[in-house]
Amino acid sequence: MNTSNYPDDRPNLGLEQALPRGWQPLSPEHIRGQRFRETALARRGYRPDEVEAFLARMAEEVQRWTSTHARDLAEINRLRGFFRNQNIDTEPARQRAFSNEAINILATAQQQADQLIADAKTHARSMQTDARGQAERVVVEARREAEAAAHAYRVRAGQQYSADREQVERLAAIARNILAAVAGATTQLDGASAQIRAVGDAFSAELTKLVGPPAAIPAPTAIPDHPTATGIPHVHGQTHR
Amino acid sequence: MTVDPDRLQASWARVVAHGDSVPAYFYAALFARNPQLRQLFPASMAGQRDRLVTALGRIVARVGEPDVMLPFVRGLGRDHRRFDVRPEHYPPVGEALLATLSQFLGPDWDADLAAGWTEAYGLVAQVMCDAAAEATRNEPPYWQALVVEHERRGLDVAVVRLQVDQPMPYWYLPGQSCAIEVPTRLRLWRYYSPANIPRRDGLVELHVKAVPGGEVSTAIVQSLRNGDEVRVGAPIGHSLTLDPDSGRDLLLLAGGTGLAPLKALTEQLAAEGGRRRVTLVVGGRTSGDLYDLPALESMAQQMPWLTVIPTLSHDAHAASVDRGNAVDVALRMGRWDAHDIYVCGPAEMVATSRERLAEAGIAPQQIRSEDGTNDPYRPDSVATVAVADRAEVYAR
Repeated sequence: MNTSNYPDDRPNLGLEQALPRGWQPLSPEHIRGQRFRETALARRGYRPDEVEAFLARMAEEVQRWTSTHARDLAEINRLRGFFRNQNIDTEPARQRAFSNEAINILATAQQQADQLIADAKTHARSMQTDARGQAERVVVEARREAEAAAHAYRVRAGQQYSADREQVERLAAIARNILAAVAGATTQLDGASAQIRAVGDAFSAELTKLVGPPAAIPAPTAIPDHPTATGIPHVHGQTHR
Repeated sequence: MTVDPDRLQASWARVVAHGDSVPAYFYAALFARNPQLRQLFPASMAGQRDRLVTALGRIVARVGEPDVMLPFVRGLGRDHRRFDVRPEHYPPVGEALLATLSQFLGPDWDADLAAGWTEAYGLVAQVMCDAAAEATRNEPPYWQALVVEHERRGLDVAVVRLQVDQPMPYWYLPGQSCAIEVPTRLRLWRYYSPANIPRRDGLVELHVKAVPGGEVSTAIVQSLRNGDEVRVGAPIGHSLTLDPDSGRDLLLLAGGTGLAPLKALTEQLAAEGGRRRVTLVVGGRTSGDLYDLPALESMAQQMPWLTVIPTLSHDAHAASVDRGNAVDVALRMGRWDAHDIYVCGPAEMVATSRERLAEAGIAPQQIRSEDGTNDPYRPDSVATVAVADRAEVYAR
């Protein structure tokens, strides 16, 4: 147990370096199972040379482990000192207190992000539901009018009836309906564009007030023609309602 | 287990009484200390919170009954592989859990309780890690797949064909579903059912409807492109698979993209020799919802035992289509007392169908349907299908 036998404090502490090659550790089972033959004169007792040899080996073994253990301890202490000098905390992380302030800030930020995502989903849902409902109505209405047109044709065709002609009437009614729907959508889009232009103009005016006439803005005419070129990300959202 | 289950359960009950702030604190503690773990989770943590509390609650409630608790925990371990969870992630999670418990229990948090929770968590983590390692010997955490065809059908449906990479073959039972993750919505998994029987070339057909406000379905329908890489999880669920002991004829009621698993069942019945009569009633609101009619009609032509009935509930003027809900049309057609009935579609459609069938005197055990939730994380239904089961339905 004398650590002073191994004073040198080498940083590398592999057991494989401290022990000779091919060395077989002495196991407790081995020690327990060790038997000594009796002496030649049949007296009770063990042959002293065998006992001595075995004890010598055990002593060697214990010595080896003791010194290895001592070197490990020295190395651990050296590393502890090193980390202390470098201000590195080697205590297990869980023993340190969690910073409640940081945790609360993170939790709040996440909850706000979650809320924003939930709102965006709700908004998307209502827009998609509206669009789907509108599309359904357009299709159903077109079909209804196609059937009405076909019926009207059958009534007035009389003897001149032709199935092809009836189908043409149907398709024409559907086409008229779709054109009307597209025209309606275009009007809505125009309205939206006008709104975007108005927002762009207002923004441009505000900008002029702030930074003076648009010398810094290379192409002021680009704003009315290409409203999204103003780079205002929320303009799009404002035009929907 | 040396821990007193009653004490654990009592302490957990006191913690969950604090509601949503418990999982919020837990995740914030986890990420504050381990920022690198944040990327394992989706942008919105809203759905994640319930899952954590539910899963922990289930474990704690059964802490004294390992026979019930361990299979659940093993399922969790297997399932978490597709979230890229690795053994080294368990200690920080345990640390954050203990910090959360101590935060909400305040002065009640003592050394005994800490030791009990540490031991219980250690056991759960060990079982999950072992189950994950064991499962990985049989199947990968997920399969990589390539989008080989993305076809918009009408306003809000896409038929997507995936080529699943096959270092290990992708086997499933028709009627099962698989979790899918697309590159534009990482960490968000949604379940879809293949519309075909498993094939040797690994081709899987999915039918996806853009759910209004749906993050993943909308991305799949609108922005997935040929050549995109998606991930496919192990197949799960047995609610819609064929009963191997039944030889009865079948009535299949499909609503919208609920058609997909029923189409796969039809393919399976064809592969088995077409010995059972099948009536497939495909319902939709307007004609755009009957997005796969040409394929179904060509199947019906080739398979004399198959009758396909398209129906529309909100399209009074569509030609050559029955009017009404799929279930009402089916009930007008005849009696189904001696049939196996499979219903798949929107939750509302499934509920209505079950009601109407019950009113018509059909026994509930004749009817098979899914539970209607699209929870990307339902480990209770996670089940690995024995390879032998899968080989049986393998396309020839």
